[in-house]
Amino acid sequence: MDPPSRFLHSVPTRFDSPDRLRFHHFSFPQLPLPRHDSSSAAASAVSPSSFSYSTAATSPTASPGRVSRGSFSRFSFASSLPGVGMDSMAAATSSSVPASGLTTVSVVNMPPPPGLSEKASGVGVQKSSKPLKEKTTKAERRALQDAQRAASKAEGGKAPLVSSGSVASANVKAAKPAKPSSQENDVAVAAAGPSEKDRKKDAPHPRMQYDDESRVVKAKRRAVVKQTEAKNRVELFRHLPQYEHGTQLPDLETKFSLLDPMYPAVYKVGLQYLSGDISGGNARCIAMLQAFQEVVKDYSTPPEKTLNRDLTAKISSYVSFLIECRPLSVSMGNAIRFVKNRIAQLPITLFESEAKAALQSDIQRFISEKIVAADKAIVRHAVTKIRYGDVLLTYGSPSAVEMVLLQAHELRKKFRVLVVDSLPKLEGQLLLRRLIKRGIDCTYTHINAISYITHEVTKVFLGASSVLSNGTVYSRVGTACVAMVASAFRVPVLVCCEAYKFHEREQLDSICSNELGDPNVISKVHGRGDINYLDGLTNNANLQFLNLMYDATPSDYISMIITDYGMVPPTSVPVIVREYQKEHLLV
Amino acid sequence: MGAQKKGGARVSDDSEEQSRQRLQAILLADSFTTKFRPVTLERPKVLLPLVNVPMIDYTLAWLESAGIEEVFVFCCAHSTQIIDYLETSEWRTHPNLVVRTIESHKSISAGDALRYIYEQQTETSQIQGDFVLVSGDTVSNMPLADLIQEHRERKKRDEKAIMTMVIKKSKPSLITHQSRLGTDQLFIAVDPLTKQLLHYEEDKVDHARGSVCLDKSLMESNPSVLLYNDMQDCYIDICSPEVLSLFEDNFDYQHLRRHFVKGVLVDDIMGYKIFTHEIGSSYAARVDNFRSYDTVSKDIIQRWTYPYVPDINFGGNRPVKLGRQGIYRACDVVQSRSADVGASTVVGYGTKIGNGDRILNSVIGNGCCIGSNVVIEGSYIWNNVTIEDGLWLGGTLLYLRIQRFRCFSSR
Repeated sequence: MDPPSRFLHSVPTRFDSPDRLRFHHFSFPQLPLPRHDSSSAAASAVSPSSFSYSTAATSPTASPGRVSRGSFSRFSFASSLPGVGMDSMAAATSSSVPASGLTTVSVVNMPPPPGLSEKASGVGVQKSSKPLKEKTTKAERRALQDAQRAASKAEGGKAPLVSSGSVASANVKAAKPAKPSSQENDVAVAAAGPSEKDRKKDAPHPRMQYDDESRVVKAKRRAVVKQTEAKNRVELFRHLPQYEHGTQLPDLETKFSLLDPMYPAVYKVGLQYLSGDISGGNARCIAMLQAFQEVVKDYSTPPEKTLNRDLTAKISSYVSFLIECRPLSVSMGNAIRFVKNRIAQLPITLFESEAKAALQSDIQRFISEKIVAADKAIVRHAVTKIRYGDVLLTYGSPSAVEMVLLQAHELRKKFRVLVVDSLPKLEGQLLLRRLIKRGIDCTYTHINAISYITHEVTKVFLGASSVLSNGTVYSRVGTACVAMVASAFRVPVLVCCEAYKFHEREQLDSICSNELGDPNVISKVHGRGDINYLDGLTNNANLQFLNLMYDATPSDYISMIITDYGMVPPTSVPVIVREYQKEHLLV
Repeated sequence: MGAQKKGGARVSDDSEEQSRQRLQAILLADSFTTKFRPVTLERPKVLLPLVNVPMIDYTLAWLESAGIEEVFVFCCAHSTQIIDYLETSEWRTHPNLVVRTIESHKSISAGDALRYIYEQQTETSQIQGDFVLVSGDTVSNMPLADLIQEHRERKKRDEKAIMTMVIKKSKPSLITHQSRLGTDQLFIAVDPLTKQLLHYEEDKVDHARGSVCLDKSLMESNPSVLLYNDMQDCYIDICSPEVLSLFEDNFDYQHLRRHFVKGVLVDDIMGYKIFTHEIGSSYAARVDNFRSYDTVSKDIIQRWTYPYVPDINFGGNRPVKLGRQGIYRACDVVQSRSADVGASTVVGYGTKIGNGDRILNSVIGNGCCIGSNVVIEGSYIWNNVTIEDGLWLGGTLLYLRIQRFRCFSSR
């Protein structure tokens, strides 16, 4: 059954305060502002990106087939944050949109606005269409859509191709054949050393939705990392990138000498991400910032350019390379925003060496204050919560929680730890090894046994990749299960997360924004070569493999979030976001 | 002990021959060492309880489930006790496994035992084809059928491949240079492609300099050599009948490894080869000293040897019930309310535990009576032991002899 979740419908209302997230309950009478097809949208058009609708630009009655399914309403979350803006276009379930007076927004894919600056993160544009008068039947809509497709093809494809997930055809199963053909785009377009300016212009939105054909093609053209798209993908997650693993690393290693614009330290970090050597929010962020420090150290302003603009552009290009290696985590996104902010605020009057020194010390300060000192503060708060005889449960390998446990052990508190782990990554084994080396009494189990062991647990400590404004904890997949079981057993759940990982957006589900890992690792069981029933089935049409990396834990399951600003309930997260942001925007 | 019939006069295919050959094993129920004295002055080692079950039961149960159809139990010391035990246990009437005993009183080593079996064999030809050679104190759950098949195929290709050894990854301690089973650390050299054993070194390791001496000819004759320091020898071997004749020819081969394996490796006249097989997720260990007794007991409690665990009925043991945190308790244990039975403990049938006791990481046998305020940590109490009030036992192995009890530290 086709998921409605890919209906992305954004509301391009004005964003007057860019750092504020608007939560729009979209009511239809409010029509989106009309935009035109090929004209350059203003650079400040911050509309979030692409959508799975497409239409023949010329056909005026583009809409009828589209959306007149009065069965859902759409929530759109638009973030105006540059560079980081994660647009979670959550599609919604059915609700109360009246059948009449329905507007449709059909979207046309636009070329990205030229001159990408910090603010212009969005490349998607919408085109409004005429409101629909009445509901048409499925067959009629289908017929109309076919006609449009034929028309657009005949026109020579002025508008981009029909991309996947054409919404109206979702109901009609026969639309399926159209999709695979457009998605079997497994030829990677070679990155023929595009000029830096090109790269700057065409850098993709970090939260680009990957089910849009043309955007993907464009992104590939400028890509450094040659990625082949995975062929057999789950429909629901087509908006997320998924590539064939194992093809990128050797290719990238050989290409190093050809990549002049790429800085070696950044390249190294990218390779480490790609191979999985560095994982975990803090580690990735620190590695990236240290690479940027080196970039700044070796940077020299080219003639006739200003340091601010040029360095920002360089950083953006490096960031897009890192995104190609592995999608950004929230911690990295916030750090990048900080760096760009600091660059932008450098006074013009400074000499280059002074500016560079200032920037390097800023980055160093960020690392030492926001990460290292924050961890110490978290540990200080959290050890007060560990009592004599406690049985603490932890999931995966969160760095903050590990520090808390080691410190509590140093303070001679008597407790024991239950490490819960899950395939395929088995990250808990690393944590287990480190705890046992210090002599902490541990038990190890997998997540399938969680309802058995939570019976004897007194507290649950979890880590987070990020905490969102509505209190949702975005963390390694499996965390939500652990939190849910713990709350069913009335066990308090404490999340340890540094404040720099907080984010203003809000997320309700784990679908709209996530990361897809290598699907082949879930067809095997680690250490059991004899269990290979799924071998060779990875390309079967009837079977798709899905390896999600993150999930979203609702705030109801969380008792407390321990941050460097103190211990707060999940409802106080927006307050910290507000205060935290003010702090780092001040000079 | 009748002869095995091989079948009619027709010319038989190899595979047919194999299918008619019974899978056989030789179980040496005497380890010919004195490591477990003085307990073994009166009792055979293989009948000592390991987590309340005689050791030989673990071995026989494993052999039976691995597909072995006939086991020859060689007894030397205290052989009458072993034979009586086997007669009265369920192994006598087991449908799938035939247990035969071979008794000798003159053997003083494994080599002697094999020579004796060989002599018996020439008269009655019991051992046909390849057999599994194990010791009576082996605890394992590894599957054997594939390994035997592999050995046979290798033998078909190469006449000189007479033995396959089973090894398991187990890092020795850096401080004591002993493996976790209390044996000296092992250096072996293996050919990575063919898995042939090239060098086996156990005692002449220079701990001070951390080095081991290898022969130059090793490198000359092999393109690549893999050196292992983190392996443990499980003393489970798949042998061809040539092994028995080799022991017969070399009457000074006493120890299986120190003499036989080393002799075969050094001897290039006959050119016999020994191969290795590494097991990954299966468990195999031999209890030949007190440290391995301790380690293997803990492994059994932690269920590494599944299905040979206390709460499963194998080989006629009485299963006990498994509770949380690895506490196995028999159903008729009388335990005082103030007693605290901690994690990873086994308490046998008919045991009484008194007030204020604290028992942790221990095995208590059947019929024990433990007084008040006793602390037992990391100890093994065998059957029918009475412990007076207020004792503290840490790291102890306790067994009762009539009206006396002796106490030994197992550390």
